[in-house]
Amino acid sequence: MELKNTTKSGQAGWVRYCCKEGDCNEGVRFKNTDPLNEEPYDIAIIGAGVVGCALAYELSQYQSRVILIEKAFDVGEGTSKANSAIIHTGFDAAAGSLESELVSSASREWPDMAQKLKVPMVQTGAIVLAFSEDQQKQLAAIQQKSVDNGVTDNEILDATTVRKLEPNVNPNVRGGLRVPRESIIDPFAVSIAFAEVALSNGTDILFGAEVNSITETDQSVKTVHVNKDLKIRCNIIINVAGLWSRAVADQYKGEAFHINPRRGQFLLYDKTCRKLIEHILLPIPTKKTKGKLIAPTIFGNILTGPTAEDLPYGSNDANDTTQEGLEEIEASTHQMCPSLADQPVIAAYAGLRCNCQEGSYFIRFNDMHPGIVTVTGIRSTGLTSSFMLARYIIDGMKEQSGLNLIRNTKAKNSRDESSWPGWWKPPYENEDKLASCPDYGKMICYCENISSGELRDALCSPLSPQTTDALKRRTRAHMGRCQGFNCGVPIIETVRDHSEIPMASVTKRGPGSNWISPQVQKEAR
Amino acid sequence: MNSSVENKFKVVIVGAGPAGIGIAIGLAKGGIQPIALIDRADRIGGLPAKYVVKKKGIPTFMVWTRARVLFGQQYVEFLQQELDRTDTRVHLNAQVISVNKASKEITLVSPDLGRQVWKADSIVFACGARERTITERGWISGKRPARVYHTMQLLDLLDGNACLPMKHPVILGSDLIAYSAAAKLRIAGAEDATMLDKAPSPKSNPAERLYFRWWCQPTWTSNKQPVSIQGSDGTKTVETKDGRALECDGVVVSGELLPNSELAAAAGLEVSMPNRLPILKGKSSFSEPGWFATGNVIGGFHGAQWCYFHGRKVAKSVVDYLTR
Repeated sequence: MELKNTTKSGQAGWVRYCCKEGDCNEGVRFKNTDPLNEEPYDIAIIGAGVVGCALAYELSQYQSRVILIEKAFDVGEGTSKANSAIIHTGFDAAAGSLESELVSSASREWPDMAQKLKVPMVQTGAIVLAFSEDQQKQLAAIQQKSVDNGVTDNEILDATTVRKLEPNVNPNVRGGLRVPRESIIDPFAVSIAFAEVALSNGTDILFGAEVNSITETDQSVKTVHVNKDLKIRCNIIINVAGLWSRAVADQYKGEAFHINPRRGQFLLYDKTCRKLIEHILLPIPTKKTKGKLIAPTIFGNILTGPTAEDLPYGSNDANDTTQEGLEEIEASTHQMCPSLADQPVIAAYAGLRCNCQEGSYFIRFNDMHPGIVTVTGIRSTGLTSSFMLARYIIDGMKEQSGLNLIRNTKAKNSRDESSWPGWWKPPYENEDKLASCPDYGKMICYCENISSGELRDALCSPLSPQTTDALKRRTRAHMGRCQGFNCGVPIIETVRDHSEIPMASVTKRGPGSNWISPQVQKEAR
Repeated sequence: MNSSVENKFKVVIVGAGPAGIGIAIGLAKGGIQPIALIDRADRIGGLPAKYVVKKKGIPTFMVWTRARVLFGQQYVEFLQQELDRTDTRVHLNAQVISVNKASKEITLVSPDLGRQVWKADSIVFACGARERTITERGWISGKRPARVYHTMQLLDLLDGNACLPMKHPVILGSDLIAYSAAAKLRIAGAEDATMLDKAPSPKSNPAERLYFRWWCQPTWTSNKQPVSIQGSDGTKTVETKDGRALECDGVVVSGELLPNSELAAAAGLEVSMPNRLPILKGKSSFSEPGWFATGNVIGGFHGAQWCYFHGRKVAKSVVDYLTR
């Protein structure tokens, strides 16, 4: 397949939000005058989760016209935002699987990739803990599996060494397996960074765009219909819509697969207890589940979880935490690290993994139609494998669809130095920066020391976030121990002022999630 | 703007709410100077300052010495007058970044001062309190939709922005703060709230409830089981274990104060977990000499005037420490 390669070389793409007038900044609101139908796109990516964003990033290294279509109001709003925030080595994957191959190769490149993307990442290492003789015996098998997966730099530890490395684990520990390259990362920044680089290389991004139907599927130029009246024409469609991938695949009658969301609940502990652990602590996996881990977060908290609850097809918004789920996490993680029981929890969240009955990493090139690619069943390892999976998909399209791609030598593959988030490199530690702009000294989020200057920078960043959650994921404001008690409304006011919209239009994560109830009538006060 | 500049004070007070002001005034009366009173907000008065005077508003601050109930803002104005008679150096918009126990130094950042290190002979934490988060309460789970607010956020919207965020509120919590939230919502145009707490009867005492009855009569729901907040985008219901679904378009998670003891904890002073209570001798001094705490940061839920007088009282201990 020959692409027209109508790349806007050296020109950045655009970001637009589909919504009513007044619901977002007018400058980035999609209007019918915006160029969408002139020339067909080479490739349309449906879904801006971490895999969709990584695809946009990798494709933007080639001369191609790409559009990223997302129904939410930010990148990474689904499965990609609620996970354990770990870059895996793949030591416990099914050896020989595509997942194992992609995760293993991605994990080696991640330290370099994180530097390029300016995404905070720290290699803490992980320890698989054994608490019984029986479990201790299993360590050798896990070590062998790890070696089979190409992760050879692991070591079996005796109980004394485990206690020395992790003095707060249950003293009944019998031994452990240390996997040094397991790392923690800012999970939100990954999708954002991929998308920002792609954008600067010419990828267009359309938010608030829900796919209704796909037509002319057997033609070379296909049409994706979004929001009832918009048509996006393109040569290739890549369906990476995660939990919604089945609904999208139904539009082109793609091969049969079944998605059952698998819910994972997590508990987040206050930063005051960060020093309790050094490594990611994992239980011995059983046949049924990988079990619940205790992990430091890159932000300085500790998180515990996840549960693994299989939900029926379509429960795409069932990201509830439940009392039972949270108690289940506490029961098993307090057993691993008893000191946690005395530590304050500040928040709980739940994510839905895209669990595919037909197996994980379900990928179909030319799915019933030439030029349509289905990628689904990316469960817990998508954050790690994202860009390797993207490269795998691109290679597959070259081979199986005869896609001819030419490198764009002018393309960027990194973000600027100024993209490091303020919580990682605090502006108040930079005397010149603070002196030149006093806003970096005015704290809005007291718990995380996030200033009004950082909020402004985030709002002016390339993807121009339009919701309070989007701002929160970029800055960490509202994510501290008071969970918005102090900064909640100042953040709403900041978005209102920057977007120049009324208070009643500011949303948590897009239209419908307004901070002011639509039931409140305008009244004379 | 030079961060190596070291300001030296006899006492630095962190937090300019009623307790911090009380201690500043007490120290001034005891002849101690120089004193620095700092706050991260852009005004003095702490939480009470957020309860502004409004025509049809509800005064909620009992001032025992005057036998009157005032608006928080009015009470803060009295305190401001007292404070103005002292030589206390007040710095607003100043956030403490770190505290060094050994050298008694604090690092602070503010738009006016940049980043500075201040040294003092004694440091007093008057950092107040915040409400326990939803998860930290241990009986509320569910989704994370828009319009789940803490009382502070409600105040910032109602008083700060003249903006009513919900028409049909559910209030989780039942202490004095919860009742005042219900009343404030009611006079701003919301319907009477449904109030729910994990308690057999409201935690607020009958006299307090009687006071608020003039403005609001929330429907009380006792609930022994956990509840969950539901709504994919905006808040829709609060569901109980026994199958009840309280319909609403917003939730206020109210009351249950937690001390803002984190600066003390970060400095390495003794703080008990998970309730975050500073471990104090005689309710005001840490075991490390020269470090004190006053007001709601010591734990519990105290009124503004109690905090002011507590500050005045702790000032005596600080004077004793400095002049012994």
